Amino acid sequence: MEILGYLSHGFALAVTPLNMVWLVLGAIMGTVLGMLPGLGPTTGIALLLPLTFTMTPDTALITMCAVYYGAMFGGSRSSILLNVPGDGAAVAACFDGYPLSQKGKAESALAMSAIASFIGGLIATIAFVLVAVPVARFALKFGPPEYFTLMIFALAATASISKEAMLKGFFSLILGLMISTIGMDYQSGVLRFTFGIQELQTGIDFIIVIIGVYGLGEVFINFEKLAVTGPGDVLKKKFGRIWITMAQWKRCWLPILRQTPVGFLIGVLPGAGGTIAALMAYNNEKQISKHPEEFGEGAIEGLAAPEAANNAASVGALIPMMTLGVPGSGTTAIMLGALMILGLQPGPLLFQQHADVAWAVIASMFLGNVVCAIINIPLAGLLVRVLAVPPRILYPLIVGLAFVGVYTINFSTVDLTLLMIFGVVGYFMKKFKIPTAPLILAVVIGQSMEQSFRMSLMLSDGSLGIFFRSGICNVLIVLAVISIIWPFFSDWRKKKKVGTM
Amino acid sequence: MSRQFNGVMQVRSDYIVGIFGIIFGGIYSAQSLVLPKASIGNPWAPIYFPVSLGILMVGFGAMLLLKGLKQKKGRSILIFPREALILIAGTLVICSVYIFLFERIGFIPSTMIFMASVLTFINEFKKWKINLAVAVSFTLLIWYVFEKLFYINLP
Repeated sequence: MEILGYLSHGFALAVTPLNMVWLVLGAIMGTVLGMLPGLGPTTGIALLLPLTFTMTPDTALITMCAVYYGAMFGGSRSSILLNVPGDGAAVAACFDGYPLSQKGKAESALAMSAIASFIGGLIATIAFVLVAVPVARFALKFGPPEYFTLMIFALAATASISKEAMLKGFFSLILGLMISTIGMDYQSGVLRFTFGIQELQTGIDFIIVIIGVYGLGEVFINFEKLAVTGPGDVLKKKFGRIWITMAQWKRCWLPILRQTPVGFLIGVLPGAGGTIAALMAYNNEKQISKHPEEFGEGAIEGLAAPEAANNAASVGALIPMMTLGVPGSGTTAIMLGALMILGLQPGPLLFQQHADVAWAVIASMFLGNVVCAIINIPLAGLLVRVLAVPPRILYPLIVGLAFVGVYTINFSTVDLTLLMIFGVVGYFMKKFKIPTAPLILAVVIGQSMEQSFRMSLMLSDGSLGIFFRSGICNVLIVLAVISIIWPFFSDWRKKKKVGTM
Repeated sequence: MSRQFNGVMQVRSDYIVGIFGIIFGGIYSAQSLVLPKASIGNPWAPIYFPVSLGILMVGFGAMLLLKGLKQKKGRSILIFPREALILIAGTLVICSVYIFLFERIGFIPSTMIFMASVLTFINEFKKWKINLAVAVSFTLLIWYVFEKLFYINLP
């Protein structure tokens, strides 16, 4: 009952005209940015972040969440129509979405992906409502040592998500932490790595790093595709009725319901995310299916299951960010940073001190899903025309938007120079296959992590034993170690299995 | 017009990242050690964290270098296409000029020049009418959104 009361209050705040306008605009912008290949929710939110600076915290968060869901909905549009995923999480939509489109069933594919995303998002939001308060209450027991070990776990899990790139993941993580040390040390007042540049005294704003790495870096890496891109597929611009048949629904409802919890749980875990959720859901359904041979040839449940899982994951990913104040992905790291800019401290206290904001955002998740479904079913034919914008025009526009956005953070041209530097860093990171999510996560939480570490040491008179005294710390350290060892263990198990066959 | 890519630089990924990590980590550690000490509390408090990071970076760099050395030739080779490098370098030069002009001549003229230059450079000169139209409309739209809707003052 208590939760229902909070939720109804949240709805009252979320449905104010201003919030609804931004929710709809955010969902449209997110859908458009999500469907453009090479962009995606992280870049989309990063580029649109400066727009939220003058908003109230609830409006800003509602807008960012709407962009996030919009991008998750929109990502599969280009997968289905062009076989090019708008973002990583939409890659599984290529497997069966594109074959469906080639068989003349693009309308069904577009509708099913939106319906599955809607159901996945809705169920996950209900789960969010049930889980958020207990998790936030539990997190009130956290002190500096618990927060430090939690951040270690989040960073270790994100850096070690891919065994092949684990070393590079840690490289990226350390680089991010190094960036976070630039500027004044808040405990001692000592200036670190500012090299006499006054603008660096307050540190490098993480938004500059994010827009540089994701915005400019993405544009630079896409320059490589400009010359080799041939005429490609002709974009279908005329559609019949975008809807599904009863037979298609009967094939899909169970896979959607089965894979939504999978996506939600993967989303909650730090490091994992929409891409892993979608791929896992696809493989699960292929294994369960009575007709696995149809997968990859246009099996509609092969499209529905990953779409539901991917949207459920995007909702699940908000749980650690909002209740613990520790993001588990690049996108939620940006949202966490934005909250901090707006003067809010994400974490358990958010639900106590700013309950109105927290519940308005949760309520907006329900509304956002409905809005995204409306945008992505009846208006799909209209919105996909964005895919016809030539990349040679689109990329300069992104560069322009990145520069103007970054300037509005501190009104300093030094930030623009830093943006260029991080754009180049982003290009080389992508080129050398160094994961960028650990860097972003580290830049956003690096300073709080160092402060938690030092406060813990102050509490214990310099003894590192404080990190092993509480049960929560021990569990988190074990989880961090498991997250590093697990990829090697599962690899060893697979090899052993193959060896015994 | 489709231009052909010619690989101008081929590098081994892990090897290069490893060397960079060792050098960068080493310089960072050395710089950390000469940071000013805290005047209150433990004087080394602001130095421990950066020094640890520098050492970790050297460690991960060394592991990547070893991994790169162990890899067979031909694996993990990266190619930097000439056209992409030209586009990146050109864009960076135009961006530098934009940064120089931004506060000197104001947002509208500098952004129009910047967008028209980037578009002409990337989207080819013969499409100058489209480039100009996009540059002007983008600048005015952004100016309107920031100045009039969000009350954010641009120079």
